[in-house]
Formats: sequence, structure tokens, C-alpha cells
Amino acid sequence: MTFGILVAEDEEITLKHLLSTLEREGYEVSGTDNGQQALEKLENEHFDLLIADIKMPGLNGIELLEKVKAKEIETEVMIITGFGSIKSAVETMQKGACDYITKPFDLDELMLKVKRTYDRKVLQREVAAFKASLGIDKKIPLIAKSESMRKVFQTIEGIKNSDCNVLLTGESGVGKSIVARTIHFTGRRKNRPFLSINCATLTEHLLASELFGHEKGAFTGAVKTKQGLVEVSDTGTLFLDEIAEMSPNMQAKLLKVLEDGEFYRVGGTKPFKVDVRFIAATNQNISALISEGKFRKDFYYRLNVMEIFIASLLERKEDIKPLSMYFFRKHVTKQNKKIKDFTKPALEVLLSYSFPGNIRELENIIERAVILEKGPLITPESLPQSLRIFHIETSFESQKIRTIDELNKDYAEHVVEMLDGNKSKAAELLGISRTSLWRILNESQRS
Amino acid sequence: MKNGQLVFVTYCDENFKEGLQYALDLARVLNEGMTILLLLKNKVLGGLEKVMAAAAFAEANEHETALEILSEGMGGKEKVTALLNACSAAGVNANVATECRDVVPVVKDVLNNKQSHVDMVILSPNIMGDDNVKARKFSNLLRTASRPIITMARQSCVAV
Repeated sequence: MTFGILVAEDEEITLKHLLSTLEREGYEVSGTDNGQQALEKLENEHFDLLIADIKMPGLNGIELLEKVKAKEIETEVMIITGFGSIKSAVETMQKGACDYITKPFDLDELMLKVKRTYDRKVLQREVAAFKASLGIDKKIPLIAKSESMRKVFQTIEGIKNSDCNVLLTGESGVGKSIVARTIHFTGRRKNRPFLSINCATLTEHLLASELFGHEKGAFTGAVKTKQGLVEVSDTGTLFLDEIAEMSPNMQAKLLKVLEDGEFYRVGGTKPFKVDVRFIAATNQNISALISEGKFRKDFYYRLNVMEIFIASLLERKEDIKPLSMYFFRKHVTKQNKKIKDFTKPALEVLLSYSFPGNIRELENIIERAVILEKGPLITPESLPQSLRIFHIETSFESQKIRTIDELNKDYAEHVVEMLDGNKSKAAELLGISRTSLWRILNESQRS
Repeated sequence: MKNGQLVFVTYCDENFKEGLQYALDLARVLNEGMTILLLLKNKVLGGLEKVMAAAAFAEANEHETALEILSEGMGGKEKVTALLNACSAAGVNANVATECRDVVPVVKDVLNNKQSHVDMVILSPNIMGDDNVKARKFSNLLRTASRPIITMARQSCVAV
């Protein structure tokens, strides 16, 4: 790994000596005798480490350090202070220097400190690469022009710095996981872990082990103690995708974590305390699952401190074009193609399609078109044949006109729920007989 | 451990695979499994239609075509195998079921089945091109369905 070092030192002999020693050690070095020039170099070139003398013309070492931190230049700073000046050494560390060295300095000591900074930098890069490979730290931009998404952005802005649990609802492929990441990576927990799990892909026992971890010997195959996702995401965020698929038994276990921040590893007896923000997502109607007894009401209320509904792409057609352009640019760069734009007919095909698979489907269609297209513009021929030869429409909830029976049923259910299930009282308040209420409540089943 | 399902509804006729590629693409994008519902049309009527078409060709001295019509098509077993092969080639977990009823009650039952994890229903072009499907019942189904219903119509016969 190349490691660039900039040395800012006004004493010419010391500067030359430092540069030649560092170069011999294999570092890429550059030097200047002026604080202002050092700042200009840092703004124009990338250096991993700046070694700056505290007394310099133009900008002194402390001022240079302050400017580097204020301009968010990603360079570590090491300050050379005068002999015995502990006060200034403490001040430099408080202002964000990675280390300091006092004059007259021992070259071996300086090299050791530079090596330590180098090792730390290597480790930071490895962690970043590892996070990127796992998708842990993947930041994805939210692209939308529609009014409904503008409201979603406003809600995210309002809750990102709070610790409240969030429930994301919306059809498959609308971008619930991207919204979850945005909430985490723009909030105050952004430098803490963000982990996610799909509750639909694991059996109950495996899910328990994944979430809470297990003690050695807890079950056959548990050859060593394992930390669960709840434990690992302590101080961070845990994203629970497809939460509606979680069994009521597991919901009860997780409820304890939501309420008290406390859990036990599988087979363990020691309680663990954690501070985790939960973001859950589902494409199902949780209220219906609650009435069927498949989803715990108390768990739902704990999760649903804030609910964010993400509309389907069909309901926000104005987002199709900006999203298409975003995916187009992304895949043109990825595939190293020289396609410039969409043809008008191709864009019309996209705008007239209902995208039942939502944004995920749009990206898939555009990726495929970019791969297939050989000309300078995306033509309809590069789009899936089905979109051209069939007229594909999707029926969806908000397009529906609700019948009087449906409205009656919803209102009757609301009144019954308000009265804690007391149907006699509900019938009395609604001004109908108990039989009529029964008939209204069971309307859809009978039809 | 449960996975969402797309339900692809098609008639068990010569166009039974029409629209299947679209359904498979969608299932892959959404990472879901697929259930294919093969609807068997009224056999008597279907057989009569076939015989009448063959007779018309025979009267026009197109004997070879008439014979082709009478012997055309695969049997149910072959169709199921062909569908399952297409699904497995596309990497989509699928199962095939057959029904002898009209499309509207079948789809209603699919959506009302609380044990199944149906995310959406796709009606193939041969269903949408069938004049025997009653428009009123059908539009009522689209209006009241609890999950999205995707209709695929050939560009020349956009229905409902």
C-alpha cells in the first residue's frame, strides 16, 4: 500500500533529513517550509499523514491542524513540538492530532510513530473494504421527485437522530431496505453497526440463534459460543426484513429486547443488556395478521412507534424517469458502455408500464437493456419483449373504489375494536341489532 | 421458513406458455417462488370447437391441416412437465396445479386462502383474450382483490 507523507518544517536541514529518512523507509514523501503552502498541497493532493512543526511561517502547526480538521481533509496529523512543551502537546491531541513528538527528536522514535500510523491506516482500509464487501456500510442515494416520497424524506429527517423503532411498509421492491439504511447512515448512529436479517429465510430455531446467539453446547453443533445479531449491533441498528414472517413465539422473545433491551443467548442463563434501534419492514397487512392471531399486538405497538409507508412505483409514476436515469448511469459505468441516453419510444415503454416488481424490477430491466444495447441510445428492442408485445396492467389498492359494504365493515370493526371486542355494546352504539352487526362483520367471508 | 409466491394463471390450451417468460422474470426479480394454475376449459365445448375447426378445413380440402388440428397439442402431463422444465431452467421454484373451474372463482379462492403466501396473481394473455370470461365479474375481482392482479393482454385485444 502506498503511504503519502507531507512534512511541513521551516528548518531546512531538519526538513531534508526527515524527507530522506522517510523516503529510505519506502514512504512517498513531499516537503514544504511553510504552513500555508502545506495546506494548499493537502487540498490538491492526497496525503495519508502530515508531519508539521508547531512553529512555522504562514500558518503554525496548531492552525494547520485546525484547518485540516475544519475542511474534513482525510489526513492524519502528527505535530512536532518544542522540547518539554507538554501543554502544547496536550492541546494538539485535543484538537485531533494522531500523535506528537518533542524536539530534539530521536529518528527511531519518529519512525516507530509513523509506522504505527501506517498500520492503523491499513487496518482502517481493510475494515472499510470488509464492510463494503458485506454491504454493511453501503450507502445508497434515495432518488425521487414524487410528493409521497418527499413526505418520506421529511419523516426520515425528523426521526433519524431519535432512537425510536420504525416500521416500514410497502410492496416488495419499493426500497424499504434503502430507506432503513438511509435512516441509519444519516442519523447519529451512522458510525455504529448496521446489520440486517431476513426473517422469512430462516426457521424459528435458526432465527433465534442468529438473533440472540448461543452458548457452547446449547444444541448439537453449537461447538463454540456465538454472538447474535442483537448483541453485535449494540449501539447500532438492526434491520428486520419481512417481520410478518416471524412466528409469535419469536416475537415474544424479541419483545423483551424491545421493552428492556435485555436478552439471553440460546442455552444461556446470563442476561445481556443492549442499546439497539430496530427498523422492521413488511409487505403484508399487519392489522389483518393481528386479527388472525398471527402477529402479536404488543410487539406491533413496540415496533410501530413510527410507521413509514413507501408507495409502489405505479402510484408515483413521476419517479420512473429520474430512477431510470440513475440506474442507466450506474449500469453504463459498471458495464463500461458508451450509451448516451434512452430513445423517446423506449422511455415511453417504461413510462407506460406498471412495474409490479417496483424499483427492483426497473433496475433489472435497465441493467438488461444496457447489456444488450449495441448502439448509442437505448431502444425499445433492448427492453423485455413482454413489455412490447403485451399490455400489462396491475390492479392496486389505491385505485379501488370501496363499496358501501366494505366501508360498513371497516367502521363496524373500528367500533368493536374501540370497545375491546364488546359486540353487544358496539351494536347498541351503531344503532343496529347484534345479528346485523354479525352480518356486516362477516360480509366478505359470506360473499 | 416461508417464501412469497406469484401465481400464474393460464388455460391449458396451445398457448399455455404465453406470458410465462414474463412471470418467470418477475419471480426472479422478486426472489419468489411460483405456482402455475392450469385451468382446464370445458372439455366438451373445447373438443367440439376442435372438431368443428377440423371439419371446416376438411371441407376446404385442407385434409392435412384438419388432421393436424385433431392430433395437435400435448397431453396434460407433457404440459405440466414443459412448464416445470421452463421454471427450473429459469431457476424459479415452481409447482403446478390444475383447476376445472372458471378463472374468477379460482383466483378468489387463491386470494382468500390464508395459508398461502400469495404476493400477486398474473393472468396470462390467453385468459385475458377469452371472451367467455364475464367482464362484470372480472372487473369486480380486480376491484376487490386483496393483492395485486397483473393482467397481460395481447396489444390487439386489450380487455376490461
